[in-house]
Parts: sequence; C-alpha cells; structure tokens
Amino acid sequence: MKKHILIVDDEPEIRELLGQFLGGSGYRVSAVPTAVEAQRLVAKDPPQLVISDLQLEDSDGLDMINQLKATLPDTPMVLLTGVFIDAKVVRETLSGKVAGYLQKTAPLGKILDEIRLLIGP
Amino acid sequence: MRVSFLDRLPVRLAGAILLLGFIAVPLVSELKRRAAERIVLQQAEVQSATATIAVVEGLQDVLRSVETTVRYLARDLEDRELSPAEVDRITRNVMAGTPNFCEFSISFEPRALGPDIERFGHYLYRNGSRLVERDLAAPGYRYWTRDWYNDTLGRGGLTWSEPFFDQGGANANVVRISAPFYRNVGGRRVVAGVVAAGLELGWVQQLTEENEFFDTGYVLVFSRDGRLIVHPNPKYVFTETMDSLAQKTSTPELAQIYQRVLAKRQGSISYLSNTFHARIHENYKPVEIGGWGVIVGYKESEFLRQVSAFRWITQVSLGATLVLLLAIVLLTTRFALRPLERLATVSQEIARGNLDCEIVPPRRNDEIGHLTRSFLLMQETLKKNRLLEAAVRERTAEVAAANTKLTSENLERRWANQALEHQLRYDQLIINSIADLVFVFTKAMNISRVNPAVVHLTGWELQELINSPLSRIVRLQEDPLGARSKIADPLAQALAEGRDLRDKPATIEDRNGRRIPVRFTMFPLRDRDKVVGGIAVIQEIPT
Repeated sequence: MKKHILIVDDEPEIRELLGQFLGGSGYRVSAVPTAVEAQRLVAKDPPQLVISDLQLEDSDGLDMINQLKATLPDTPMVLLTGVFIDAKVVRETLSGKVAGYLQKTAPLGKILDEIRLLIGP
Repeated sequence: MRVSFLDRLPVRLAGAILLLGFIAVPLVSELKRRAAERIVLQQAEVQSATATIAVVEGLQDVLRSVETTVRYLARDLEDRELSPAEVDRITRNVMAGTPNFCEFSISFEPRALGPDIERFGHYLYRNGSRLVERDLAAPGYRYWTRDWYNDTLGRGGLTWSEPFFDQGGANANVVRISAPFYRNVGGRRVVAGVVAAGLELGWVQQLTEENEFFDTGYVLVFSRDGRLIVHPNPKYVFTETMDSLAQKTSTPELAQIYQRVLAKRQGSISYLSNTFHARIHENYKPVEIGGWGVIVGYKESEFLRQVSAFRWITQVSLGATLVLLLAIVLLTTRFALRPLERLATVSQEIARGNLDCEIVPPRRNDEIGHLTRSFLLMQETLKKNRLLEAAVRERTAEVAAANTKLTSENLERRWANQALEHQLRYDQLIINSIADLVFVFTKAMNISRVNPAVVHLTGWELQELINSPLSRIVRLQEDPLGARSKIADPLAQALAEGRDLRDKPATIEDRNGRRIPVRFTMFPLRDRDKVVGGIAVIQEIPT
C-alpha cells in the first residue's frame, strides 16, 4: 500500500509540482493550501508524513504542525522553507519541533532523499 | 496438451454410436416385434377364420346332403301304396345307397301302411358290414312313444336330434335327422309317418382332422344344446357341454361363444385359457344346419415364436449393422482425424510459443489439406508478427523510458524554474522593501538597478536611470569644488580598493534639478573575491 504524504502550501505550483513528483515516486499524495483543510484531511485520512510551508495563508506552518502533532504524535512533520528563512536558523531553532526541513530551492532528488530517510520508499 | 482417451473424437463418435445403438436397437426391435406380432396375429386370424369357414362348410355339405336325401325320401313316400316288403326294400336300398347312414327307419302312423296293419316301423342299422333289421313297433320299443317320432310329427318338418349314443343300435355316437311324410286323404294332406336317418359322428372328427390347421390348432364342434361333438381332449366329447366345460375349466369365454353361436353370430376372441395354459385365439361360427357350432382355435405363442425368431434376427442384424457402422466410423475418423491430430499437436506447440515446430506440407487437396496450408500460412504470419511485436515492444520501451526521463527532466526543470523564480522574487522583495534608496552599479559606476524608493524620491523614470552614471544624480559633499567629474573619484577609488564608504554626506538630484541632502553609504559587490560592482544605500536626511 502506498504511503500517504500530505503537502500543505499556499502556492499552487509548489503543490502541483511536488505532488506530481512524489506521486511518480511511489507515494500517495494529498495537497491542500490551508491549515484548516489540512486538519480536515488528517482527520479523514491520516498521512504518514506532513510537509508544510512555513508561511500559510491562514496560519503559521509551525503552529499548524504543533496542532497536528496532537492528532498525529508519531507522524514526522517536515517544514518546507523559502529564501526568507535562513536554513541555518531553522536547523538550530526548529530541530526539536520538526523532523526536518526542506528548501524550496533544493533539487527534487534531494527532497526525495530526505523523505525516504524519514518514511522509507 | 494431451487429449485423454475419453475426449478423443473417434472414441466420442464410437461412444455416441454405441449409445445410440443401445437405445435404438431395443427400441427398433421392440417396435418391429410389435408390428410383426400384429401382422402375424392378423394373418393367423385370417387363416383361422378361413379354417373355420372350411370346417363349417364341410359340415354343412354333409348335413345338407343328408337333409336332401331324407327330404327326398319323405317326398318319395308320399301317396305311395306300400307293403311291408316294399318298405323293407326301400329301406335296404337307402342303406345301400347312402353309406354315411348308419341307420335308417320308416315308421308309419296307425294303419297308414294298410287297414290291417295298426303300426309298422322298420329299422335297419349297420353292424359291421351287414345290416340288422329291427321292428320298431315291437313291445320293447314302440316307436310312437319315442320323442324323435313325436317331435318330428309335432314340428312337421326336418328335425335334427341332439347327438346321442345309439345303445343297442349302431352302438356309436350318432345324430339323427327325421322328417314326416304325408298322404292325401280326401283332399287333405295327412301325416303318414316318419323317415329317420342316423349319422355316425366319426366322420365329423375325420372332417376336422382332414383340415390341416396350425401346429397348435384345434377344432371344437358342439351341438345345439352345447354338447361337445369334437374336442382335442377326447374325454370331453359327449360328456361335457360348452356350459359345463366353461364352468369346469373356469373358462367363461366358452359359454360366451356358445351364446353367440346360438344367436347365429360369428367372430373371434382371444383369452388366457386354463385348459391349454396359454393365450389362445378362437374363431367361432354357427353351422347353418342342425344348430351346431364350430370353434377353430390356436395358441398365439405358436405365431409369436416366429416373431421371437424374427426379433432375434432383427437384433442380430441391427447389432451387426452397428458393429459395421462402428468399424466404418473408427476407420474413417482415424483416417480423417490423424492429420487433424497432427495439426492439433502443432497448434499446441504454436500456442506454447514454439513457432518453429514443423508442419508437413500437405499432399491432399481436401478440407484437411486446405486447413494444413492455412496452418502453414498462420505459422509464417505469426513469425512475422512475433518479430514485429518484439520490435514494437523494444521501441515502446525506449519511448516509455524516454518519456519517463523527459517527464522527470521536465519536472526537475519546472521545479528549478520555480526555485529560481522564488529566489528572484524574494531577492527583489527584499530590495524593494527597503525604504532607503538603493543603487546597484557596475564596476564602471553605471547604474544597473535601483529600488522603487529611488524612483519615488527623485522622480526619475527607471529607463532614465538604468545604465546612467551614478554620478549623474549622486554627489558626495566631500568634493569641495563640486565638480561632477571629480565626484566619483573617492567612490571609484573606494570601489577599486574594495572599501566601504559609510554614512557620507551627499546630495541627490531629482528630475527637477533640485538637490536633496542625503547620507551616502557604499559597499563593494564581490564575486569570488573579485569586485564586480557596488551597492549604494542613500538615506534621506529628515528636514
């Protein structure tokens, strides 16, 4: 059975590209733009991994991750960061809160390596 | 795939024929048996009816001739003056002329022979080869007291007696026919006496035996009262009647026949006989003379035996036909199916993927030959198709791989573009979000980029600024002469040396030529430790 990944990002292109890529890599992907929709989907169809942008339309990514952890305590959560956030800062400050972080500018192969490291192929 | 023995076509065909045979042979045999039985029994009945008629006709011929003789004699005696001697002569002549008479008598009414003779009755009977004479008027007999005499007179015509044993006379079973004769007295026809003739019944038995009936055939002759005159079992002759025998042998059919004959009816009947212990068929017919009846019967089994034999022959012939048909089918199917079996083997090989199996080119031009040629053609076509399919598969795999690679590359490219756009957008955002005036300039000190704050403060259009010398609108106040040609010098010098210039007083000229006092800071732009340009950040001095 394919593993389920939830992508939460307010940018449609990111959702589409990442969803297409991870779908082609053997995962079942759900992609939503807001924290509210993410909560609703998690309740219906719990994922094995959550990838969330730091900045969402209706919420902060970290807040949403904290809320999701209440429902999915064992599910790894990954932050998808843009150039606004310094990677080093994220690594140093958020490592205890998230399982990992991915930069939107990173190649897809690297993103896939990171995901496989967390939940396997 | 190997075809099991029971699934082989010849075996199935043979099985079907055998099954058909097992159903059809008994069925046909039974139908033929029934039809044959019906025909045989119908023929037997016809023969039986014919035999019955023959016996009846034979009896009637004899009895009729006797009747004729007696009637003639009675008429001959009418109005004839006779003497006892003449009566004796006539009687002897009759006996001599009619050898089938065993007795003959002429008896007269009182004084009919002469006024002096009260009664006269002359009787002759055969005793071996000689004739014996008796006086019927003798005190020991007195013919006028006898039934046969009085009944004949009472009837006034020919009268047949019931058969009886003539004790003291012919000493045999006889039947008597008697007739009155008359005299003309005063113009009146008056009875004068009775002539009577007796017939020994041995001839009846002979007559029935002369007619050859079937092996099991038999004849019954019975009298008007039902007394048996002829019966295959001699112990019943004269001792039993039809009714008594019917009762004795629990054969009610005999009584039925008797009643029908009495009613002058003829016909036939089949029934299970307790006398013969078999199913018998009997034809019956009344004899027109004497009130007798005749039955001709036979055992149906005699004819059904023929049918049984016929049935056996039918079964054997059908069985033989079946075996022959089986042999023909087996040989034909073997001949016809051997090439098909080879083709079946070949088709199995082809189905397994072995397109190189050998198909022997046919020498025959029948349907199997055409089929074999079609197989050859199919084999060649399949070989071509296999090569074609392999090529298509290979090409498809290549295309699919290329497509996957292309899709992957396309996706990577789109992601990279997205990342680049993201980077640029946010870089732009950062610069554009700075409220101070930012100039990016080249190593030659020409403006390459400005933020919106520059356009906003100076009123210069972006097109007017890009690629213009920085010194065109920015002037450091350290330049005491204010000569524009020298403005850039400390700036160019700092840039050449890779030094920052921080918070220097300067002025910036707007599009209207108005000079605005500002604080000027410059940072060299380095790419791999090489100065490629600079960034100037200008802060407006609040007034």
